[in-house]
Amino acid sequence: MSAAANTFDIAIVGGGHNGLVAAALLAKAGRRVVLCEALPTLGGAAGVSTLMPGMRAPKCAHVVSGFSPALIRKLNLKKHGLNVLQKDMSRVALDPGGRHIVFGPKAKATRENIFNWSSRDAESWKVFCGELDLLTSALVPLHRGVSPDLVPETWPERMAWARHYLRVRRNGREPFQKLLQLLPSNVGDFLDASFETDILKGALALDASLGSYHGPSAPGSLFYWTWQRAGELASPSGTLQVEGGPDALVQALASAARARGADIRTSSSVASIRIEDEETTGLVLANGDEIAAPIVISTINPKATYLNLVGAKHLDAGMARDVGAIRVRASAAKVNLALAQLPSFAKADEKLLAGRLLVAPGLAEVERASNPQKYGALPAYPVMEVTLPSIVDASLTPDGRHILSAIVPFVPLDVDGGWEGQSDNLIKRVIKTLGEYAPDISDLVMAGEVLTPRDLETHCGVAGADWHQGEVTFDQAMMMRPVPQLANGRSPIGGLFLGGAGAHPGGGLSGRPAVNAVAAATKYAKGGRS
Amino acid sequence: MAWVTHSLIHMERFDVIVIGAGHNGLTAAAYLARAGLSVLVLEKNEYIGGAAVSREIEPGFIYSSCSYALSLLRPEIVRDLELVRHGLRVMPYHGSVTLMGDGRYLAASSHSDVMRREISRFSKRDADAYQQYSRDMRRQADLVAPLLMQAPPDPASLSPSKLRRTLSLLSDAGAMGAAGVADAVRFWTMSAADLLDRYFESDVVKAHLAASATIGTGLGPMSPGSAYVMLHHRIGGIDGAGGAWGYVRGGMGTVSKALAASVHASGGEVRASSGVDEVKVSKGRASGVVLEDGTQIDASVVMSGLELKRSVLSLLDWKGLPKGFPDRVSKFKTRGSSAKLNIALDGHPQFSAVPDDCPSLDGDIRLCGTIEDMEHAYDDWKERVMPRNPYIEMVLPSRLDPTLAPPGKHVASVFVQYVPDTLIDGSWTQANRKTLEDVVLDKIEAAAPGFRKKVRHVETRTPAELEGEIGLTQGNIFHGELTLDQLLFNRPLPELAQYRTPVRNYYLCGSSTHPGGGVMGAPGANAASAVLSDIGKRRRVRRSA
Repeated sequence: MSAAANTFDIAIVGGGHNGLVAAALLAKAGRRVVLCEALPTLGGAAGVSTLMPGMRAPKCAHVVSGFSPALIRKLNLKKHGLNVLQKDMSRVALDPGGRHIVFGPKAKATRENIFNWSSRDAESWKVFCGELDLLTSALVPLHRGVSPDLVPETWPERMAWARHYLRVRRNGREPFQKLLQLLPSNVGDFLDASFETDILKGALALDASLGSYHGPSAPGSLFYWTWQRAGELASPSGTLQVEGGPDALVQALASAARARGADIRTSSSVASIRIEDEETTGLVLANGDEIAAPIVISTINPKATYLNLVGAKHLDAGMARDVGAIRVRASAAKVNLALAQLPSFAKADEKLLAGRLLVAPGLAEVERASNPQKYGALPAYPVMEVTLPSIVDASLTPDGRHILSAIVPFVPLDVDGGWEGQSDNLIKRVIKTLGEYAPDISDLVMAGEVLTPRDLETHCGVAGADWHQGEVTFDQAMMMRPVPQLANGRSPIGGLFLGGAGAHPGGGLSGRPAVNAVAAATKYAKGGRS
Repeated sequence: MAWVTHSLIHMERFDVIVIGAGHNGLTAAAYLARAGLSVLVLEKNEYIGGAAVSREIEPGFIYSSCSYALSLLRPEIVRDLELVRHGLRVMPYHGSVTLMGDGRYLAASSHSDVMRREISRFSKRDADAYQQYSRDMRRQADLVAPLLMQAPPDPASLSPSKLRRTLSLLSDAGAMGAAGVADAVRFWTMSAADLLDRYFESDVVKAHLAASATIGTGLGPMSPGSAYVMLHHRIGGIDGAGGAWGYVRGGMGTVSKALAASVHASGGEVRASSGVDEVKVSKGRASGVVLEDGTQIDASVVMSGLELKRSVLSLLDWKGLPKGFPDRVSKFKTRGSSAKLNIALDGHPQFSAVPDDCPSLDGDIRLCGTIEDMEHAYDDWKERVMPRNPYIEMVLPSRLDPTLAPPGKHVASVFVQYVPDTLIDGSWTQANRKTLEDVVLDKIEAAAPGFRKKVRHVETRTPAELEGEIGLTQGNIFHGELTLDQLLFNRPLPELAQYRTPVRNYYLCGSSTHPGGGVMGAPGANAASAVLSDIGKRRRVRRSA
């Protein structure tokens, strides 16, 4: 390739949805953009997997949560093939006996479902939602924009903090005190203080723990939960299901980027980021090719970006230590089943089963499932979030057949003694658990696959199988994400920006980290050094 | 009726009544007596001191039945209340030993060169990292220290003076720079295991340091928030040596005796065997107490050194309380997780891994295993089962203090971590108390063969005994868990964080209040300041009227 063909305004590392959002936005803005993805396919965590001929399952992510409709419009993704089938997907606490609780947009219906279990809990529901919303709404603006600085040094920075303070204090003294008390608290105690129904607490605790390393009794788990909720609320249409699954979003983004001239390359592994005088000058690929670009946006995880691609020699000792200490470990496994027909869950119609089904009998069970991973073992009784995407998306399966997609949290990256045989154990436990809800399920399974956390790392490029590219805890969130030295678009290397889930505001299919990186890169290109 | 007349004639009256002669109640009383108020401290037990006691249960052997070592008691209090003059002697110990259970051990020392050499046996890199860790820990402890002897900041208040205080604290923190503030967030929110992973590689070094994160808490070493418990154990010191721990000559009861002596010296009174049944409230104001025997005593101010739930739910008439308040109080987290064994020994235990003359044996001897082992014990606790392999911290104070046991004999104070306050199949019984005792003694026996033969007497105190005898609700040694949702302006609840309660003239002065548990005295001292400032205000108002 000629030198000119390898000279760009901006190079993007990683072809997950964040990388593609960045590529599409920058290409639309008229920049010459190249994107390098190491794997042969695009999508990262949003890829697709073919279980058997004609049966496709979402590889890792199985819903599109928090993706901004503004972005869909701006990038004209509908023209590029994106078809939204379902907005505001409900969550459902699944009950073996059919007394399901649907957490949908209609609060009254939810209260009626809860009333079937406990009139006290139905009464508490409103207060509970109020307290949850108090936390969530305090976090939404932080989720949307850049976070204020850890130690404000200028008056505008101090004013940013003051504005955040006044915004949440405005609601009164007591709500503010409540906020300060609840934010560092844990989900388990919060649920125990509010409800008595096991299945209600179990479903909410599972929802709160998805994507987290910790169980519901861990301090800070309430922050994690409300931070995820804030991410969904930051986008007005909530959780989406799109035709073809999250992979379709990826394809639409790639098509939008290519249509504007972005050079999207797969099987193109980046060996290092070129650096001269502490400024980036482009990329060196694994095959020896070089790409010249004064700006690089890395959407792979920050640890790999700085330790592998930049190299510790460009970092001061404190920063090398802090980056090396970033925890990337909230791993989950994925189980996909091809089913001959829809399994018979008690008293559940297709509408109900089209939601996100939360399989967790109680709070204690969720906590218990979170224990073994600490010692490199599998949960004996896994809890899981299940979707049946083929109910609303006929494109995934031939007539009548269905796909079941289960995210199983608290599965360690490596199990003691190796994965050999253990992935079989996991799928058996998953099918056995589901059998308690839909007894015919084991007879309906035509094919199944387990994507262990190791598989998700190897085949989807999700390092540590952590879809946040780094735990979302107080010490790794907002102005400390991924480390304070790299928050808010800061970098010791001029022109290098983080645009993946490892950057603020974190994972999920929101595209927001990429939007922030594009803004910072654009400012940099105009001469405003960050 | 004759008895009514009788009690009216003999009705006593004090400026201040303090409920509970624990170290915090006594501290508050001593400060108020010194300020010239007439003060009465009422204690339900026949002995004073609460959890800071020395008791001779086996003749000739003095047990520090509950708390067993001192570090956190504020130097300001020792000075102000002249506790040294009243008999307080602290003997610092300069080491501790961590036994891994597999023959490996770390003999820690407060002498940095010795410590360095010891850590180098496991990892040279960790020996360097320890310097950095100690510096970082010290810096965070120094940031916390000025907060201890004052009421917590009130970030929800918009009053100019409170806002100024909040801002000045933030700017003190900010003065550490971004790296220091980031470390503060880490020390206050991370798990002990994760925080230690940032510094160390050796499992022995990590286990040694993580052990203090488990003490008294309902968190595992891998739970976020447990790093703070390590910090909480380092915010004290002895004779200016930051973070140092020591024994009190004569046992922990000496602290309480010195405090009581200080109360007496200022004209106050401490009355044992006088359990309070109820705080009298009229028109929203506390006006005295009713004792269990029906005696009434009047006071302008009533303070409770008891744990929050007892102070509010047991002592007050709920009818007069604001709507929802009792419910919020009942949600205060007081899960118990510790037990205590006090043992009289006919000889010095011999640890197979450690030579008898190792000076580190003067301090705490930790039978702990790895962080994973401690976490497993925590997982058991969450399921409320009998601990199978608990974390054990044993001290032999008689090595340094000859007043505790006859010559050649010893007392062992054994702290056991992750013992549920109730078991999954019911509350504590005589039989399962014995099971716990055996689990603990067997574990010590494994580390020190022949130990059981030397045992002359054992007192086993499960969370049930800690609750029943000294009123620690659910046996929680800190009067409430030390998690961020219950620290600083959140302790015990946001509306109670300034030591005042919805009942006027009724104050909290126990470890449920800021800055929390441990034999620190700061809650008592801070509550006394709140009382004095309120009385001062009232006096000023009267004068101007």
